[in-house]
Amino acid sequence: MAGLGFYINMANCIGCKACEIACKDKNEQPIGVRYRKVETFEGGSFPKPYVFHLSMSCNHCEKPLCVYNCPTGALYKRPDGIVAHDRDKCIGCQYCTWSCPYGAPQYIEEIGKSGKCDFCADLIDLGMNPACVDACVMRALDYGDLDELRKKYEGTDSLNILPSADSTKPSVIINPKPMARKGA
Amino acid sequence: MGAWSLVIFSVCLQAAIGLFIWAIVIKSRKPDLSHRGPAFWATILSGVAMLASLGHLGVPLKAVNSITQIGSSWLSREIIFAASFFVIALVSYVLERVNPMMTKGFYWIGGVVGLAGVFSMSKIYMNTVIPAWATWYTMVDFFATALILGGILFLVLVKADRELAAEVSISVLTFALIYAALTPLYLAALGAGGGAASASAALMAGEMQVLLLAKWLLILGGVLLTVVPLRKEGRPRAYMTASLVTLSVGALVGRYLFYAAGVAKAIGLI
Repeated sequence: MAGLGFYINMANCIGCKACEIACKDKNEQPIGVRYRKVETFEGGSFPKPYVFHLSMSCNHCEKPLCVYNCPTGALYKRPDGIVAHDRDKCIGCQYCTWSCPYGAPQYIEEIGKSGKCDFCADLIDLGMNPACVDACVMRALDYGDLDELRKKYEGTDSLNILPSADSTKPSVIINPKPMARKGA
Repeated sequence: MGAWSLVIFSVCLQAAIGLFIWAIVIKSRKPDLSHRGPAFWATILSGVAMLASLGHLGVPLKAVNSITQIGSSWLSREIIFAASFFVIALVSYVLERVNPMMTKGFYWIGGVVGLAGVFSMSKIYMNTVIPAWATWYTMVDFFATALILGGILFLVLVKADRELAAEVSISVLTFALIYAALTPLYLAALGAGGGAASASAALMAGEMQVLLLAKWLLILGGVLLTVVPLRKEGRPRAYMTASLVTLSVGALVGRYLFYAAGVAKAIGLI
């Protein structure tokens, strides 16, 4: 088993942000904190303008720099691949927020600690789906063991808007729109 | 306190460690030199640094958790070295009064631990997704700050005579010039980098340009203040004190700029 990862079908995503809201609701995030973010990219010019959306949370990387850098052990990788966060151990040093190329761990001012997507580990442990996956009206999000996902879907972990995947090896497969492909 | 807690932490700790290093170097060649000041001020400065670092934490009361991951985290290692340095400086200060014969060994241990601390501190920033920090220049910046501030602080504390002042000032000037000469390389590399790197370069060339200029005027001006009076009679100590103040402000401004101009890579900003 390669560990859990997300599949994001950018071609189907309409940018409705239902995943983001479901995540915010499930994880009770205060204003400004978004464990899952939908970002919209526009470009080109008439007659060929383009727009695409990317819904991204923690990518539960194979080589998570946030976990290596965390001085308290609050961030750790579970055997199923989830990069989880033990809030009791966190001291709010914010080093994780300097360590993630995807901006996944975020500092929560109200509690003086960091927080991040934990793949809805509590739901996973009950055999349920992460809140974002269930909320997606376009069925653009899926999750599962990365090896299984790779068999099921075509995709990449490298886009022209993403930092290099080489350093952290994100557990994510994205089916990109053509203009989001690396080199496009 | 935000970034200021880290500014104070890093500058004070580096100054304390640099002071210790200079005390070791000079004391090994001039054993008769009375140098009680360095251990006392290294204790005070590293103590202030440790306290200031708590201001950065969301939960300062759990700060001790930060030393549990020395196997993987440079931040854990830095805290261990910084805390050890503080303890060694304090013990050296006490021993100087009780059993001066034993202090030499402690100074050496303190020096090694201190250098490991500055190294760890540099590695913390070099291991981030902030291109303005994740460069060899961070190591240069931190060691240069330690040696420059520590050198002048040492001169002020031991009430250096003209000969010693000349020796240390010229070395410090050399470090400052190397540090300055490497800066354009760093800025050019940053400007030629990707989105986050060039965003940092644009900040330093744009709205924060005044901080960059102030940093270098204060640092080079501060070092020159100790070198210029060497040629004539007078009171080098007054110049040294003025130099220490100027350099300290320069180091604080420079470190504030370091934090303020750090832009992280992100989705859409690579």
